[in-house]
Amino acid sequence: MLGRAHRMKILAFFLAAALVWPIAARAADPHDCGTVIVPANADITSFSPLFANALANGQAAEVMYENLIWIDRHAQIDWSRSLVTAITASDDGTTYDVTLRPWHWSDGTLVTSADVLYGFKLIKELGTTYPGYGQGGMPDIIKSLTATDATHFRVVLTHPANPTWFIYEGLSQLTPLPSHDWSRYNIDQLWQLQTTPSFYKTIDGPLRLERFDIGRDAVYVPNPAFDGPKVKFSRFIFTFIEGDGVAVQQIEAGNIDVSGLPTEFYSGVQHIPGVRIEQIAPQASYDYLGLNLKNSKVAFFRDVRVRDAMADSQDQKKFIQVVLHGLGYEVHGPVTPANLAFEAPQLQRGDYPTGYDPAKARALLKAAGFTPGPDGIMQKDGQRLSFVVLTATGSTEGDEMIEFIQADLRAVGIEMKVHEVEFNQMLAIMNGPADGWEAADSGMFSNGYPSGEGLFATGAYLNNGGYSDKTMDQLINDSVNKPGLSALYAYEIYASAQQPVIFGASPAPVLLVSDRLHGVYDFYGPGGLLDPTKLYCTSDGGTES
Amino acid sequence: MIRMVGTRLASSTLTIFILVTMVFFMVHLTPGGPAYSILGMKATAASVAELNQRLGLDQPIIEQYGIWWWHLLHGQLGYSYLLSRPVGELLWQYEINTLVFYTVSIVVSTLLSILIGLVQGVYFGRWPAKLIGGLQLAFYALPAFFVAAMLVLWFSVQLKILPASGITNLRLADPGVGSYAAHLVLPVTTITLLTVASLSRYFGEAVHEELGKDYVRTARAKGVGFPAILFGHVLRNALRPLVTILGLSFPYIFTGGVIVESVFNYPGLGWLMWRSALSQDYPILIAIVLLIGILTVVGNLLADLVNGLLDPRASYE
Amino acid sequence: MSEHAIPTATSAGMPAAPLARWLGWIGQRSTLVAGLTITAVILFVGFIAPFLYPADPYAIHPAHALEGPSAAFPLGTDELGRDELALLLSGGFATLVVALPAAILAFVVGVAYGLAAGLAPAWLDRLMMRILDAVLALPSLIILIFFASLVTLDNTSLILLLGLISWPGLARLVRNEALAQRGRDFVLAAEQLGAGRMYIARVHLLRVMAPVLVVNGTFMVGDSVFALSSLSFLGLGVQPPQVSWGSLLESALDIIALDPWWLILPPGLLVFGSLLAASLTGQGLLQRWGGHR
Repeated sequence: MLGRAHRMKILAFFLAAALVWPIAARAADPHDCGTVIVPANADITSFSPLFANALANGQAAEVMYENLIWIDRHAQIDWSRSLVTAITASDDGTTYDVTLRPWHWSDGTLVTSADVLYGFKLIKELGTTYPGYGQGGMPDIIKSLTATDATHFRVVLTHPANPTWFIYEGLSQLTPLPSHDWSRYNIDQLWQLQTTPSFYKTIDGPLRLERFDIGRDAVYVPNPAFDGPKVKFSRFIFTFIEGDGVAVQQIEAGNIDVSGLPTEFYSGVQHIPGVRIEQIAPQASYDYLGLNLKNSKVAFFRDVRVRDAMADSQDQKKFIQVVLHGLGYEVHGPVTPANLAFEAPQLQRGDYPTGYDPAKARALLKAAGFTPGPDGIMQKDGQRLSFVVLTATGSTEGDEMIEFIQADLRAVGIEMKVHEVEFNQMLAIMNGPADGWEAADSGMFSNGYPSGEGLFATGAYLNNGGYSDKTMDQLINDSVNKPGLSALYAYEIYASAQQPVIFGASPAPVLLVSDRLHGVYDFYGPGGLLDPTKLYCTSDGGTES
Repeated sequence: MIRMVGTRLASSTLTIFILVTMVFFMVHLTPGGPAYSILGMKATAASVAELNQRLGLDQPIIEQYGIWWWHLLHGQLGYSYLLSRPVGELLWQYEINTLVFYTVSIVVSTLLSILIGLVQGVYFGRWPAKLIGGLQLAFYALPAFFVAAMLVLWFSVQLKILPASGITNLRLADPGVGSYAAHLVLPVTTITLLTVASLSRYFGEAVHEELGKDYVRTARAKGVGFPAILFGHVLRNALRPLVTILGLSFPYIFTGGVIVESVFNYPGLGWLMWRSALSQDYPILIAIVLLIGILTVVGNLLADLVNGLLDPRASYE
Repeated sequence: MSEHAIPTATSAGMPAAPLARWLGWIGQRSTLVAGLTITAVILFVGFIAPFLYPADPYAIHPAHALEGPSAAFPLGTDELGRDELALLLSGGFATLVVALPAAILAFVVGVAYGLAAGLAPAWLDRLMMRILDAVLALPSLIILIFFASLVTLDNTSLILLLGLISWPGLARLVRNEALAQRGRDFVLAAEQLGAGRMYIARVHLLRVMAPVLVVNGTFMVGDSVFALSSLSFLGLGVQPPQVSWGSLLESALDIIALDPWWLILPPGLLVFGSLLAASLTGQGLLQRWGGHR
């Protein structure tokens, strides 16, 4: 029917369009990554922000639900990435008025303070099984939580508290949850549905869970109704990879985009094509050697001179240089490398009460009444200065750290023997009878305010070793309940001198990143926070903009 | 026949009962428990106690034992504490992967073994058979983790032609059969190398034995061609012991090998059992043990039945 | 090699030269000889060499990390710069010092259980076999994790652990043999003369079963080394800082992306060698004694 010339013109039009379209499309979205694959550091067993007991689960939930408060790497609140726009604390630190920004769930409903109240109700219902129980005093510290209107709510505490501490550690836990969707389920049902993707249909974060292959990977797609900046990829996958070395092999093969970089690989990966080494901001964590002060078999731990000697024997600098290739931070007190903004000025100057000094370590042991035995191990009243440390299997880096600690201790006459167990067995043992363990290789995460109420206060919920000291309790109490930072500084100095646990070096987080992926530095926030909107790609692996 | 099956089932049920009971008590008596895995670093005495109460783990063991059997008789295998899914669903998901993996492996192994065994049986006493015999002894002694490691080293790290882990390429939104197949090559090769040794030896001995029997001599005297004898009758008769062995390895198709699956990060049932054992996820562990028990019984039974079918008395003699 | 591969002078009817006769003797027992030779090598590597080689397996040389074999380090170094050869020898000792006693334990328990069942009244025998079936079907992994959480995994507990896993196979074999031999004349005669069960078991049955027991015992040693290496590979065997062949392989696998063939081949080959030694020796003995039943 149409004339031949006419048909040719139409055909030409379509041909031209076909040629121009991809160019136009690419020009419209030059940074689209397609699929981004990132390793989870452990098996994901939950997507619910309520049950986020481990880093991997926290991150899996993180990308679907917005944080109330985002704390950046300078330990400041980043208001642009938080759901709150303003927090007003009363002078005595008991009352907090919070303003929410206008934000929507994926079904269009407004995120309101009713959702915050609902989340808090669930936290209370979970009792001690709530992962954040006790942190920031939650939930018992809150006397009342009321919604003033849809975007304002008020928190009243049972007693005055240090506002920075409460906001960072406590208030930040009040993630709004979709009450209009979830309130029909009871707690048991919420627990049973925590790995079912279809349960998470009402979200307010940038990504939506599409598929979950248990024990393997979680596949996310962008949330089209997200109020924030659009993400620059079409699929995002958390994949669980067993073993650091396997992840390196995977990124070399091009199967994943980001990989951890175990220290032993550092020299070996310098020349892999298509991949670069990137150091991200320090994480709010450190490793420590927990000591069981309740166990009479190792009563020598109760003597602060012995603990200080152990700390002074450790050449953290050498360990960082040799094993971590210089990529690590010395830690002598309770402040993590990400909380340095809250570190006492004296400590920031490098003036720590403890530090590498083997001669001083031996002098301390001598003052404590120890003399070298025939095998070089210190002894007193017939008891050798020897103990067994529990470590959890799974990390070559961890094993190396233990061996360095062991060698350094031996150099001053202290013997440490290693007993490797599974991680959850280690926890069980540490929570079991007092004489079940002597020392344990452990680590801690901080949210931003490095106070010690969870670790070092008498009877604190994470104080497995039974450390108890009146001065420590007083300082912790002041740092948590009184305004200002002077009590916090005093606590830090005291903890560094007391070494209730033996603080250990913190490896710098170093990653291998595929050349096409950028924005990784901003993607990983401190304390496990993630911001997928910061990721973007360049097809030619060009320079970061 | 029916009576044989009946008695076998009865005594096997007793075996399974003892098995499951032993595992149940052993697993529940291990200190720790899933609460620690679930609560992770935040596990404290108080929270563990509360979670145990919510999960029903604080009840006396005898009661928990009874409850478990009660659920089982109603067709429920329980709920995974750690993964928050019904155990049956989990088992099935991982089962499929193991099924594919091991079925392919056993098929390949069997075909190879038949081939090798034929050569070994026919050339018995001469150098090809001796060479094969020597190789069989050597391959039989290869440890699984060593074979797997070497294969990964050669093909994934050095030659970079085959993937070292996983089940498929995650990048592809719709991975085709090719991707699954590529990821199966190394694991299947590992298992095949390990099983061909003993399988082909059994078959080779069986072939040799058959070739020495009267009916073969008779057939040859009558002028029947050797290939016809070989493939027509010897093969079928020699298959009987092979079937027995396959029947005995039937459970392994389903339960998989923990080491091979962990080296290749292959999400099969063996891998699931390993992870569940480490995190003390009791329901999964006990369900898998029950599965192993039943499959062992079924495997033995099937092997005997098929053996009966291939009975030489029914064939040309 | 077979009886006919090397023509001995005797087969030609002439007096044989000593060397030829000796070669012929080896040829006839080539499997056994091979097995015993490798066994000797493994035992040397495991029990003697560690005391001959001077290097300290735990000394760290970070400047020489992950180097291939060289004059200074005959088998290269691992990721911390430790001498791989020293680690291998130390690991060998640790592996064998657990695996061998474990095999002996399993052997003793298996024989005892099998004899007891074989000589027991029918109902007891059936019950014991059912229990045995259940233990056989039990995934060893579960047993091992259970015990690993209860006790510190030192050499003693590992020996007990491994020993208590591998006995059922032998027990069943011994029991079947005992049943078979029980009806034979010499046993009946002994019973007639008033011999007690224990006496019959010890003197008569064991003597008759000796070849089978030795052959299977040899195989069990190989299985024991394999089991311990697999356990160590999974992190449940020999504990750090002590290394074993299995744990060396596991560490090497972790860094396999760096192509550390000198860390993978030696421990793997030694475990392989151990299994091969057991296999060949057992096979050789089987060939030798195959007709004497």
